[in-house]
Amino acid sequence: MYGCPYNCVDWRRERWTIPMTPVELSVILFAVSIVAGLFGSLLGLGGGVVVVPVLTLGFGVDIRLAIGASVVAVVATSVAAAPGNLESGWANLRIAIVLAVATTLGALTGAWLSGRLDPRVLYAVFGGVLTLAGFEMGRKLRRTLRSAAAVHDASEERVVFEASEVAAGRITDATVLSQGCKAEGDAPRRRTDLSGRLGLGGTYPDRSSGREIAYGVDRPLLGLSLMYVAGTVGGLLGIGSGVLKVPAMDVAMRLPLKVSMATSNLLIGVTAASASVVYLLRGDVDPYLAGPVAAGVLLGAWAGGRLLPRLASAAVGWVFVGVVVVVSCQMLWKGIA
Amino acid sequence: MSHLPVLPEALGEARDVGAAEHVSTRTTKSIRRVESLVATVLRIGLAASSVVIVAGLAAQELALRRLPTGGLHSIAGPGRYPNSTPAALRGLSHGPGSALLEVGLGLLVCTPAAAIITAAVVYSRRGDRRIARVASLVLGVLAVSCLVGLLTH
Repeated sequence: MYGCPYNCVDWRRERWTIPMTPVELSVILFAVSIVAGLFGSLLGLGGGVVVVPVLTLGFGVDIRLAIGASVVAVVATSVAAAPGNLESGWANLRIAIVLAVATTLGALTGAWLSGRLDPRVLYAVFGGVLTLAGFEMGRKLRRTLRSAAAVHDASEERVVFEASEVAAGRITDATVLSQGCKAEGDAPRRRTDLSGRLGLGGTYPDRSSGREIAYGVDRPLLGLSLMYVAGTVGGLLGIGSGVLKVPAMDVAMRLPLKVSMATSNLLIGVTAASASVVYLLRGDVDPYLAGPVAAGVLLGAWAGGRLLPRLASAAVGWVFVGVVVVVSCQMLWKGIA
Repeated sequence: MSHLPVLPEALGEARDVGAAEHVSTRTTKSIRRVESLVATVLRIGLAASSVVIVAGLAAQELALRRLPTGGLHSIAGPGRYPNSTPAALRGLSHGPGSALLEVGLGLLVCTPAAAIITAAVVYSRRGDRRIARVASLVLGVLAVSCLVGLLTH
C-alpha cells in the first residue's frame, strides 16, 4: 500500500532510501510539518497544500493517509486562529454558519469521493489545483506589485501595501481597494431576501477611526453554490481551500476582504471537521502520522504568522511560486505516470 | 436572557439614525458576546485536544523506543489502531499512545462541532430561531458525515 512503509525516506530512488527508527521518523515528521505550516502560512495557502506533497513525494505515504493527516492539521490550524478572528470582530459567525451548510455538504461529498477514486486521479487533481493556486499567487503578486508601484509613482507620499502582504498574497483585491471602487465601509448594500431574513449583515471594527463599520451580503445563493464546490475540493484533497472560499465571499458575495478572510478561516475548521470525521471513521487517519503532522503544522502556522512581516518580500514570494509550480508538476506526473 | 433583535434587522427597521445607532450598539455587543462564547469553546477544545495529543505522542515515543527499526509498520497503518470510540476507550484503559492520540484527534475534530452546538443553543435561547435551525442543519450534515465514515469503513 505504501511506496515506502513509514520507516524510511524514499526519494523515489532506492539508493537514496534512508532507514530510520520510528522515533526518528516521528521527530522528522514533526519538524517537516513545522516547515510545511510555516510555508503554508507565508504563502497564504494553509498547511494542507504543503503537507500532502511532502508526505506523498517525500515520505512515500499513501495519498489517502496523507490527505487524512492533512485534513486534521487543517482543523487544528483553523481552530487555533478562529478565536482571535471572532473576538476581534472580523469573522462573522452567522455567515459562517449559513455557508457551512454548503461547505460541510461539499466536504462530505469530497471525502466520500476520495475513498472511491483511484489514487492516481487524486494525485492529478491535487497537481491541477496546486498549479491553479501557483498561477493565482503569481498573478496576485504581479498585480499587487504593479498597482503598488502605480500608487507610489502617483503620490510618492506613502506605500499603500506592506511588502510582506504583497509577497504572501494577502492583498487579493489590491487594485480595487487602492482605487476606492469597493472601499470597505461603504454603506450596507440592498439586502436580498435570504440574507435579510437570516440577518447575515454585520459590522467590523475599523481601527483607524475606532468605529464599527456596517456591511451587507449580496447573492447568498451564488455564495452557497461556490462554497459547495470549495468544500468538495477541500474534502477531496484534505486542504482548507481558502483559495476558493475567500474569493467566493469577497467577489461573489461582496463582503469586505478582511471579513471574508477571517470568516473563511472559521469556516475552514467546520468544513474540515466534516471531512475529517469521514476519514477518521473510515480508517484513513493514522494517528502516528496525524499526531506529529497536526502538532507541527499548528506550530509552523503560528510561527509563520509571527515571522511574516520580517521574512516576506516580493522575491521570496516568487521563490515560493516556483516551489509550488515544481511540486504541482511532480504531483501531476505521479498521477499520469 | 433578553431577546435582542439582530443587527441587520435593527438597521433595516430603525426609522431614525439615533435609534438605529443606539440599537446597533446594543446588538453589536450582543453579537460579540455570542462570538466570544464560541471563541472560548474553540480555545477549550484546542487546549484539551492539544494536551491529549501531546500525551499520546509522548506515550507513543516511549512505546516505540522499544521497537526495532521498521517496527512502526507492525502497529501503524489501516486496521492496526483503534478507529472507533469504544475501541479507543478500551485502548485508553491500557494506556497506549495510539489510543490517546486517537482520542486527542477525535477531540480536535469535534471542537468545531462543539462551537456550532454552542452557537445553536445560544441563538435558540435568544429567540433567533432561523439561524439556530441553520446551525442544526450543519450539525445534521456532520452527523451524516459520521454515518458515511462508519459505512465506508
